[in-house]
Amino acid sequence: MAYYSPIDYLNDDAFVDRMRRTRSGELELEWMGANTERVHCRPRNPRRGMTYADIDVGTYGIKAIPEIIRGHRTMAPRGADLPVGLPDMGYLINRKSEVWADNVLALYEEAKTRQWNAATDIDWLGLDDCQVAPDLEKAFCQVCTFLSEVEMVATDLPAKWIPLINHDLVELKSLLCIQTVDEARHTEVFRKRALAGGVGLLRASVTAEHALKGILDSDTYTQASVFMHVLGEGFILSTFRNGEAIAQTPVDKKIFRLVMQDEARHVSYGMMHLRYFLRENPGRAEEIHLMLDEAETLMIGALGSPELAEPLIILAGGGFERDAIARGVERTYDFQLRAINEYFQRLEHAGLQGRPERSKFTKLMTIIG
Amino acid sequence: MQGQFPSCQFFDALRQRIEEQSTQFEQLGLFDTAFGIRICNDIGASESLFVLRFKDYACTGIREVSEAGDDIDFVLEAPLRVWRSILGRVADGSINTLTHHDDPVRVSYANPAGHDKLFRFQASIQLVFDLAAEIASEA
Repeated sequence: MAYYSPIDYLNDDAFVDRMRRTRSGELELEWMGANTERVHCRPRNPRRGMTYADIDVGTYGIKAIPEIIRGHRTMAPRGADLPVGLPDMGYLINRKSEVWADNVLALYEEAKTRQWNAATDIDWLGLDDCQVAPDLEKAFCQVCTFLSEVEMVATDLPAKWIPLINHDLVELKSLLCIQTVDEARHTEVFRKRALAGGVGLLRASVTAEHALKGILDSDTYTQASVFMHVLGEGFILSTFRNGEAIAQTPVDKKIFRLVMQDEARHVSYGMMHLRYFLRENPGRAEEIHLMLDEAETLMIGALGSPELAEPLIILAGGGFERDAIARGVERTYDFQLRAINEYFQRLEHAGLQGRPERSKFTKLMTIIG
Repeated sequence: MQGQFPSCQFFDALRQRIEEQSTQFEQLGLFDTAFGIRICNDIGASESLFVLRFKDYACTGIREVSEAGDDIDFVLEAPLRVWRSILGRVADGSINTLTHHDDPVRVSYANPAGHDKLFRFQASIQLVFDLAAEIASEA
């Protein structure tokens, strides 16, 4: 037992007396006098139902969250009456700008309506009707192995931080909870796909796992978010887009179309969180740059991993022949260059200036052409 | 009788078809975006631009405009012959495949938040184009 009750209730006369009075129907009803705001919320749009935006009012609303939450560190719902004696839950993130983004409410509602089921929404039996060359199936299963390996970090990372975030930021915590489900589903779907086609899982990637460790061990939530949501998931989003384009079967195309939607929400949150963070903390841009200096190094290792780059080239070219590989190299590097440019665009939109000039990716492009 | 792509009659028919498939759109999830379909000539100059607006699960309007406004998330651009081959199912591939290398369809956008909606709503956008292809086949 790690936490002991501050009171031994069975040996507390006042507590036991009150329970006896309650048992006899003598109620105190002090909670009826809670000094909280009376509101009457309704869905503005019945098709969307009752959204968080519909209850964003007064002392219950987003504007009621101060930049620094000094008042309490408890699980009391924002806007509730706070009696004396609520325990400190030990939250480490008590500053709104360290996690918030202006699109949190919209993304949460969107995410709930765009959930899917990897067990039933994919036509697994339809794979029987698809003819895929054995070597291409093997290459595809290597990509699935890589994706199943890396996707779970986007479950682990938010899951690590959610209990450390002040409960006043409940909408953001809820969005991160949905992300953990999204990414568990991605790990699931790629694992199932690898095992469904007669090949199974192939080889894990050392360099990718160093990048995953870098994400998990980030010093702050914002650094972890920029590393994972903007850099890591930005590249994985491009990989999903590329996966849909080069997939050999309609089943695989549907998988990539569905994971793409989830991933794009996560990237969008990450970009808008960085934008919010830098708007509130303009002096902390260098901290993000310094983190990215190392994160990009780790990411280059992951992208250069033969366990990812080689099967992508083979799938993009359509085979192992010399011409096919040359075509695959060209297409794969084209999408990776686009991914790098989109990463720079997202950082600029977020307010982080000057990244291309100091980026390891710029140096990489100079080195390998 | 539907008009040919890219006429106003064609887009009216598309809006009607989207409304008829409202259950399918609702199953795919919230769909909040405004995007453009630009028809270019063979050297890339714009000949016409239609903006499609979606809110909740429905299409709230399709109209021809002279320029994409700030509230347009992204614009899909291609010559007429490419659009006709896509809608005629001659060009093989999904909207993602057709835009992935900006060839044969180019994606333009003012900011990356708008661009990301192309991917956030990919399945719904694909359904719009599937319905447009149905209409084109009936014209």
